[in-house]
Amino acid sequence: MKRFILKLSFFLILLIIIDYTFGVLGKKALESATSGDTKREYIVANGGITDEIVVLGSSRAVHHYHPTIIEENTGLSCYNVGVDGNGIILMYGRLSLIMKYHTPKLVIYDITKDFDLNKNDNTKYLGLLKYFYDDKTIKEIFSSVDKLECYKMYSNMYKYNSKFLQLIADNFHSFSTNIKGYKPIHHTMEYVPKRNISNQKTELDSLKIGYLEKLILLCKDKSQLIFVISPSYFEDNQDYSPLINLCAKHNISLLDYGKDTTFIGKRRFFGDTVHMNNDGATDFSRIIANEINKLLNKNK
Amino acid sequence: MIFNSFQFLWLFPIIFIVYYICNSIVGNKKQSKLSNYLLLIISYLLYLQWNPACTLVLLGVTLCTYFGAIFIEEKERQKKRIIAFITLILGTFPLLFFKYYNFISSSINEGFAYLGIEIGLNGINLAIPLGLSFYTFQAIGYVSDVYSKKVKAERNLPDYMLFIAFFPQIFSGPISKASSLLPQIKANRNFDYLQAVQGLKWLLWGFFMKVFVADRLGLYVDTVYSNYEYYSGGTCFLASLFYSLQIYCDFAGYSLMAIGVGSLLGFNLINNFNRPYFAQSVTEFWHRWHISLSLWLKDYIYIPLGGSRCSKLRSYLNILATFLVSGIWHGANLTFIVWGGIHGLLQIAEKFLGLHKRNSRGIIKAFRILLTFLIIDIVWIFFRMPTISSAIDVCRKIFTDFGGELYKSTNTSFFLMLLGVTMILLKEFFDEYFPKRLRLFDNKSIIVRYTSYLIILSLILLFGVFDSTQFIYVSF
Repeated sequence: MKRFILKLSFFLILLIIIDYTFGVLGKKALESATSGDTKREYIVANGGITDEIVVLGSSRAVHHYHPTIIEENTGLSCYNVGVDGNGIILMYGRLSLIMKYHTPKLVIYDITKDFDLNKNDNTKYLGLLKYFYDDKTIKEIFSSVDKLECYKMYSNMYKYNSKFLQLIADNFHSFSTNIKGYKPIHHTMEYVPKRNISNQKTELDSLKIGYLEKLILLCKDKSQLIFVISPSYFEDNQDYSPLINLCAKHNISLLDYGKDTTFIGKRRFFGDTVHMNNDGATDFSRIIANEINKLLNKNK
Repeated sequence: MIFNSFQFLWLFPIIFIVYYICNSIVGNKKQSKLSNYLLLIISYLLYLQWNPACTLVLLGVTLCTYFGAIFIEEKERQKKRIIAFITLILGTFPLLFFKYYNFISSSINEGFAYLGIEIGLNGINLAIPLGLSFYTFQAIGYVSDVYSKKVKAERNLPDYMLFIAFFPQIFSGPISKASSLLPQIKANRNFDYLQAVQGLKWLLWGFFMKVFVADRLGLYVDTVYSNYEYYSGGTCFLASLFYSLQIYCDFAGYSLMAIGVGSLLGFNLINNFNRPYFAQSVTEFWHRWHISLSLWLKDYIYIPLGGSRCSKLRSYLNILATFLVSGIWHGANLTFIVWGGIHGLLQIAEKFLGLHKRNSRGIIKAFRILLTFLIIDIVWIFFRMPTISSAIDVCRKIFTDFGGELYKSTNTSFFLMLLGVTMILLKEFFDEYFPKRLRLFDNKSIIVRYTSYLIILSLILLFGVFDSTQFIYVSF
């Protein structure tokens, strides 16, 4: 038994050394990334976003809001901070990091019910916040989502879990290009999609709704905030009442394009049933820009 | 306790230390008794933690089969048969009720609705106790062994309770035989350095198979299969190949971890997998895949039905019946029954053609391995999809839709999937054909050994999927 424990201890010491080394390498790779998503992550968290309009949300934000179009039509600079498969938990963290250095004039939050209101595994939304775990707000987010994650963060390799190859690659060559955070979809949906009506019952997530409110409070008196439900191929009949109530409570605008016939059912605007392609995003960004102008003029 | 959870990481070392401290402070006479009580308490606490109410089901099956087996042993032949029958009915009742009631009631409703009669049997909305199929089969196997006098009825209730509830294997097997596990429970288990080190190696490789390979492949498979209509035939085929490897790495990974944990506690659990995708026939595949279930089905279904010592037609029917039971065991869904049925029919075809015992060499062997793998791969689609029609649609896509783009997820994710698959296939290939070469975990050089452990552990930490995904077979 003694031999077993001694060898195991020796092995664990080696593992800690390797873990530490990967931590140092990972941090260096993050700081020196020249392109791609890694560079984007780094500038978002380290004062690189100085734009007047910031777009937040899931992949629907990433693919639906063309910053150049918004800039051309509003005269305000714009950056798209959305991330595929993510929602309010990551976005609250990101906006907190951005607002440490800069206060945008306008924050647009594109709502996706699954990621912003429904109950599901929230731990997965912490993925891109791991790099910035040293920040106090980010630590609080981890602690509120899953206390065990705080213990896991002692491992440096875990901090860069699933991202290490990308960190290295983004120091040499960019596999992922974006236009100020916007990632256009260039193909058009060629098939005629069938509407799958899911019988699965969804439950509301009080943690996510809590973070939506925190986001509203973060912007209060500093930045104008608007929530947007952007178009889908099928009419969006989901119940957004918790968000509607929050907007009413805090006097926030909610622009609902989920039932807008300009886009619904028109395949030329979509890459798939939930994501618009570049043509759809261009037209939609113009509409959003007009709404921004109206809103800002009203406030003048 | 899920082996790929954070709870396992901190709790198991504590269990391990307490277990061996207890063993060392008592004399040899009382050692097995004390450590068995400890393991029993841990096993039940872990089960209670998941769902306290379902622990009553576990206890019920245990007590019913425990007393049933004692009565069977004590009574004369006529009564023995009746008691065995009652024990089997009572022992399998929870399994039939929890797992199949909804399927049976909805099938009856549909059957009568077809005849224009409305019956309206209500379904139930209860959680299926975890590991129910596994521990029920283990308990029923024990009762059958007592009935056929292969083993003596166990008189020590705590030992028998531990045999059924032993925590490394209760959720997903392996399904142990009483003749193998009960004597180990009764014996003193002193710490064995080599056995413990081997256990850690199995644990590490099993963990790698699960979180590095299976769970990453699962991300791809889930994406494609949940919207297969929108993906090309090539993508659906790649998803089917990935699923074949995912289910293997998931289940074999779990089994290795269970065996590893057992080994660290001084137990030798049955090996559940023996490189199944190197089988030359479907028959051979079943000698290499989920070995503990295959042996159970052979001993308690196939042989009692007459096995192969009867007419050819009867033996074919016995194979079919055995694999239909295997399909039903996996779940109350037509897809599993069809999956089991196809496996049964394929084995009948092999037996008819005399392929089941023929071992080829060289190119023909390679061709047979590839063909067997592709057949099994396609049949897995029925296992994975929620309905027969969706499984047929995926198959149709694979065989008819040759155009379209190949979905690759992200570059890094696709690279990691290929890396994982390559590592698994290389290891399996060398283990199968060159067992003395490429011994990284068992290398004579300590540097090679430790470097291998550290590389695998680093790959797990850097690239593993850590969302504590349940093991696929836990839901069976």
